[in-house]
Amino acid sequence: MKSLLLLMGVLMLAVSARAEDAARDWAADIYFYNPEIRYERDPNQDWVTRQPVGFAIGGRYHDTKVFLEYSSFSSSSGNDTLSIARQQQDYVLWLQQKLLTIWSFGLYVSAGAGLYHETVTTTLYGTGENDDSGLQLMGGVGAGAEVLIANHFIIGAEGRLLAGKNFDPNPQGSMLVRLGVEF
Amino acid sequence: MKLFGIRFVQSLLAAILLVFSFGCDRNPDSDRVSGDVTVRIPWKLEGQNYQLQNVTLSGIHSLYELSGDYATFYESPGIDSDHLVGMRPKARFIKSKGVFIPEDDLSQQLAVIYGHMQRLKNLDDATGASTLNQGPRDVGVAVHYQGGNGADKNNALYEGTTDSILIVPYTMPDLPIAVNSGILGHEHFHSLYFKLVEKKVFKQRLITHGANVLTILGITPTPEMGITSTDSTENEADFAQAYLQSFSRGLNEGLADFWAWVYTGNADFIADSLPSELTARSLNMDEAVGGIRYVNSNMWKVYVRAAAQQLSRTEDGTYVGYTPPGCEGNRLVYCLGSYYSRNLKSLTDIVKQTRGLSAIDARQEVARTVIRVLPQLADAFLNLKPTDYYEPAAFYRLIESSMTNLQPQEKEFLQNLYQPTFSDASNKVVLSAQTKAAKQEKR
Repeated sequence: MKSLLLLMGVLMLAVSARAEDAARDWAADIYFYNPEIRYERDPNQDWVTRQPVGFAIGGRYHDTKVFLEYSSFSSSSGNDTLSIARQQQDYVLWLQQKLLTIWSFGLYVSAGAGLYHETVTTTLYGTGENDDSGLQLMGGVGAGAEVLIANHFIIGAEGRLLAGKNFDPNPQGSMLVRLGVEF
Repeated sequence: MKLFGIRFVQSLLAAILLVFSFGCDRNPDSDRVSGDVTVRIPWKLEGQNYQLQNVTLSGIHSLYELSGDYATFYESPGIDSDHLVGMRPKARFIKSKGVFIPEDDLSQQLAVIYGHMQRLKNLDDATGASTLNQGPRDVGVAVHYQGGNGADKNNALYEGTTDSILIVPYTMPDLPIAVNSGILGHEHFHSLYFKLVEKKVFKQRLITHGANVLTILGITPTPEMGITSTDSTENEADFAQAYLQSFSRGLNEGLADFWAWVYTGNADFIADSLPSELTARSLNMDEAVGGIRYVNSNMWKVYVRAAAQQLSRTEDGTYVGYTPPGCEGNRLVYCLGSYYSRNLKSLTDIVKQTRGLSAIDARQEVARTVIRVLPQLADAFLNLKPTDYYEPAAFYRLIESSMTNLQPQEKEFLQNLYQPTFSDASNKVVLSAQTKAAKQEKR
C-alpha cells in the first residue's frame, strides 16, 4: 500500500512539474539505487527471480545519456554439509536515447555492452573453495521512462533484455527502477 | 517533443545487433561441451574423506543436460511404457582454468551421479557384470515418490520396471544422498540383482524400501495378535513365499551394502548421509548386533513372523517372537542383510591377507564370486517346492563352490558359517530385553 501511494505521489509530481529536458545541454547523472528483478531458469527449468542491486554514473548531452552501470546479485543452494554460493557482477556501459516526452516522462531506448563475471563458492564440511568464471561479454537493450523532478532528482523504470554467454535463458528479461540525481 | 534522427536509429539498430551477437544462443555454452569434461565436485578417494576433486566425466554428449554414454537424467519423472519420462534438468557451470564448476547443488549432484555411473560401469566390467546394464543409466532426480512408508525423502531407490535409479529430495543436514558414492553403488547393485535373480524368480522387482512382511502376507495389524503354536493358521505355502521374498530382499540389501563397500572401500558409507543407520548397516563386525555371524532358517522364520505379528507373545514353551533391536517391522530386511555384508567383508579381509592382494583387488575378487553365484541362487530359488524354505547359510556354500583358487583359511571361514545357531527341533528363543521391559510395564 505504501509503495502504491509512493508511486502515485511521484506520478502527480511529474505531471505537475515542467518538462526539464531543455534546462541544460550537459549534465552529470548518478543513479545511486537501481533495484532490479531479473528472470532466470534454475536447473529444474523453473523460473526464479534474482534481485540485483546496483548503481550507475554517467552524463547527459541533450537527450542522449551514457553511463556505466554496476549490478550484483547472489544465490545459494545446498545444506549445512555441502553448499554452493554464487555471485554475479555486471559492468555495463549503456547508451540511452530519449525519443519523446509525454507528460514530463521521457521515453527512451537504450543499448549496452559490457562484462560480467561469476564467482562460485563451494563449501564442503566447512571448507570453502572460490572459483571465478573470469570476465565474460554481455550486452542488453532496454526501453523505459524517466522523469526529472525539481531539476535534479531522477526517477525511472525500465524493462530490458540481457544477453551473455552463460545466461539461462538467453537473453533474459529484467525490470528495474532507477533513482538518481542530475547536476 | 523532441524526435530522434535517422542516424540515431541506424546507430541504435547497430548497437542492438552488436549486443545480441554476444553469444546470444538460446542455450549456454555448456550445451556445446562434449567428450571428456573435467568437473570439480565432491568426491571420495579411498581412505580419505569427501573433498572437492577434479573428476573427468567421459562420453559427455551435452554438459548442459549432463547427458552422455553413462547416464541420462530426468527431473521429477513419470513413467510411460516402462520408461522414465520427463524434462531433462539443465546443469549450470562456470569454467575456471579449464575446469567446470557447478553453480548450484542440483548441477553438482548431476555431475557427481554421472561420474559414479561411469565408474560403476567400470566395476561391472571388472567383475563380470558388463553385459547386464546396457547404455546410459536412467536416473530420476527430485523424484516425487508416492509409495509412502517414508521413502519420499532422504532416500534412493532402484526401480526394476523402468531399470532406473530414483533419487528423492534430501532434507537432512548431512551429505546429500545424491553425492554419497556408497549409496549410489548400493542402488546400482540392485540393478544387477534384479536382472540375475528377481526378474527370473519373482518376475518383478520385489517391493521397494518401506514395504514390509505384513504387506506380503496381507495381514492387517491389530493391537494384540496372538499365536500360541508353531502350527499357525497361515497357509504354509503363503508363508514360505513370504519367507522367500523377505529373505531375497534381505540378501539383496546385504549384497548391495557389500557392493557399496567394494566400490568405495568405506565400511560406514551409509552414515555419511544417514547417521542413524550406522549401527544396523555398518560393515564393521564390531558394529554387529551381538556379534552374530550367521542366520539359519528357523531364525529367519521367527524374524519373518515377528515382523508380521509384532512382539506380543507369551513365553509358553512353544513359539516366541524375537527381532534384534532396531530391526522391527520393515527394517527387518536391512538388519538381516547386514549379516551377509559383514561376513562377505570379513571373507574379503581374509582373501586380501591370504593371497597378498591389494584392498581393491581383494574386494573385486569376492565381488566377481558374488556375480557368479547369483544365477545359481536364482536356480536354487526356482527349484524350491512351494513349502520349502531356503536355508540362509546355503548362500555361503555357493560362495565356497564359486571362489577361484580357494585358500584353506577362506574355506574354513565359510564353513564356520554353516553352523546352526539354534537346534532345528526348537523354536524357542529368548525375549529381547526390550520386550521383557515392555511386558513388565504392562503388568
